[in-house]
Amino acid sequence: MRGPSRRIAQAAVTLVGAAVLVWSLQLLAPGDPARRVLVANGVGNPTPTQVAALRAELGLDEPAPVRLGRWLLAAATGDLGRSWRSGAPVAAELADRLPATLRLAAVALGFALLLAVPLALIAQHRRADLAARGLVFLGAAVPSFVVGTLLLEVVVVRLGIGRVLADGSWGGAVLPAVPLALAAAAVWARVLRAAMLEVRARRHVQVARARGAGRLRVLLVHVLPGASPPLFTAIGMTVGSLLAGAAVVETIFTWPGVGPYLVEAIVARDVPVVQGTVLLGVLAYVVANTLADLAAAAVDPGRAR
Amino acid sequence: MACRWLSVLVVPLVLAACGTPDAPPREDAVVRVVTPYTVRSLDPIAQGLWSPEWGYGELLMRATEDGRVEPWLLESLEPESPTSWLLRLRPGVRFANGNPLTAEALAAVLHRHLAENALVRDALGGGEVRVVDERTVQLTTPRPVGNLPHLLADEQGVSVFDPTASEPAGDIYTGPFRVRSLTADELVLERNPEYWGGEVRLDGARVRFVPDPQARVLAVRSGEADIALYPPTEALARFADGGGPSVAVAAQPLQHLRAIPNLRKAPMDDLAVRRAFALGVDYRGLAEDVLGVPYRTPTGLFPDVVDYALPTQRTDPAEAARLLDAAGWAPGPDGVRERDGVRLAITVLTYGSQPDTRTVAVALQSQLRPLGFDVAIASVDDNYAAMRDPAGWDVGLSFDGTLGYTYDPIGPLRSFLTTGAQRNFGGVADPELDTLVAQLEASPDEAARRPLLERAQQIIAANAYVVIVAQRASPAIVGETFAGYRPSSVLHHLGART
Repeated sequence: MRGPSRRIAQAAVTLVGAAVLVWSLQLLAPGDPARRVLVANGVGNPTPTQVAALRAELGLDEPAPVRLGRWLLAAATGDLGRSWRSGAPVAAELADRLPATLRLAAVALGFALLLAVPLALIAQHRRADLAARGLVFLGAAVPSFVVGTLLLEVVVVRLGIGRVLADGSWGGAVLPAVPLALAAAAVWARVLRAAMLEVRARRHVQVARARGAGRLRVLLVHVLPGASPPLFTAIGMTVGSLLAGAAVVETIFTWPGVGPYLVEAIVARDVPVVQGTVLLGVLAYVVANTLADLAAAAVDPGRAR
Repeated sequence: MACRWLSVLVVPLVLAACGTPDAPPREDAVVRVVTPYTVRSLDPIAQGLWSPEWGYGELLMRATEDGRVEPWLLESLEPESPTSWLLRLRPGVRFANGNPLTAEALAAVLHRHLAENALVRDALGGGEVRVVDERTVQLTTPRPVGNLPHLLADEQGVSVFDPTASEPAGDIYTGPFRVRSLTADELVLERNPEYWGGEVRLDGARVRFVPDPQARVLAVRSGEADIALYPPTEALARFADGGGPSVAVAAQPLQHLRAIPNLRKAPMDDLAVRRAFALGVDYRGLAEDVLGVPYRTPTGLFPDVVDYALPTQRTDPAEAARLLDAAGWAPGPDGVRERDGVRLAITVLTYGSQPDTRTVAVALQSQLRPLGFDVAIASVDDNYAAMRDPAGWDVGLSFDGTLGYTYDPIGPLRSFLTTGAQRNFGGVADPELDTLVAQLEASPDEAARRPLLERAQQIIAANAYVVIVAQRASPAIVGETFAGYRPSSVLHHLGART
């Protein structure tokens, strides 16, 4: 029980530390935030009086530690502040976009698993290993935006399959999920392949073979479960980045998720949105990795120690 | 085994086909537009500018494609004096909710804008509104506002809405369309059955907000959109060969790429250097050879669409060289001119949100090098912020219309070129120009303004206070279904006649 408790405590500390770093973004942002808000709201050339009034309203004149403390308390209750561009609560805007991102992440994870596990299994065959590794390297080397752009140009525009303007539906998630899945599967397949090679050398696998278990049964029943903990860790890391919004792929496919929301906020220097989105990503990353660690420990208790 | 692997490839494609463009049923006369700019709300003050752009609202005055400003919801706009105007409404104008637009409603609208709209407050602050009769309102301003017709045609100015409406809604405006729905991704419009202006040709419109420029272009190519607004310049060339979607360009080039000399430091504080810069630029080459469609060659401060435009700009490298020689700038060993040991080196500012500024800067570097200019290029994020600092730049490139989108020469002159004005980045301080602008503001009579405008152009050109290096008309990529569509020069993308 100590193991899980310690991991959860570590996750909480990581989250708070990351939140402080995320908030510090505001201190590094160029220009006066109050002026940016006014310009974003149509005041082309705000006067010093307007800027000063808004600075007071936003609490920007208070000392940084006070502002940080206030922000952390608010964030803990789900209040991520208001967007400097739209004036709407960041949490509400994120909540509107999160379902689409979750949908895309789920489809991408499904595809990635469907690709990674068979590739790792194929790689256990000496002659097929070379081809499988070639595919894996290709998947890892080609950037997602190149795959995405090719899919749009060839599959959507020339073949007429799928949509350029994604609608956030399950059907619409298939094409954007492909570049995400390829990138993830490439990493997962390598991790799983290496772990399977290690487990194959263990005594219980040799015993199973000696007792006459078939090749596929040995791989699926005796090797794969023992090799899965590193895969869980890799999945945990991928889930975190997908839930933060696969910004480039979501933008290319106009996916109505968190990714384009973050990109637009970065371009517009909408600091509360950037802070909120990054914090969500950190939260997803920490939770997914903690769950992955706990799952790995459950499958292979030796790792927990 | 091979079949199984084939199925892994085919199944996703079949699933993807579930999301093909025929998902939403296609109405007969509905145009689908993609644009980078999001309509965030239907609030008539904060987001009222979108209502005339997308045809669900209208303004009191409007700019036309041929360079005029004419009454729109108004029947007439008459000056009683330089500080008093009578605004007379057209008869029979109704909002989409059926309520009539009366003088009382207009007075309430003007009061709301004077209280809450920064642009209106800045231009007409302290103004008083009085209802004269059922269709007439008197507007009195504390100072002369000679360009009031243009201000009332500005989309960021007085958007007209039903002041009795309890909250912003899709039917509180007067346009040929009303808003059926607005989400973070899409604005859906339908024909306004109460429209006062007669027949509306389209059944409706779907306006999708797509920030990614390549995605907008692809959307037209894939048939998911009929019109892509604000396409990237580099994407236009591929549509030149005919067949499929095509490039359409607005009639008037109202977007101007200014080269703003920094008069507050050397070498651009030297008139000879500024004039040599202006004469050394190959305007035709920039527009036709470097930038291409939708750029046109500028001939002066204002585009030819206004009759007071003077051809004050020309390319004459020989004259430029003579000016520099006479001012003591002699060619150095590497061809760069020098005076008193100081090289003729200038830094040109470009900015990311207008990537064409970088292209122009590179071309200027090449064009001005034979004259002896050593041009460095600096890219900044926010050009206005960078130009507010007198250090670090000599010429700032900036896309700003010299007439805005309402053919208003006075507002841009005042904000960019009068002493101490907030956008006077170059530090121009010319008493004669200040006086001319003040006289222009005090004069509602167009004929009386003409000589003043001509003199202002002569002063600006003689001193090279600003150089228009390129002018651009709004382009759009248009699908075959709407092949006759031409982008609006004045940003009225949809209307009753679309």
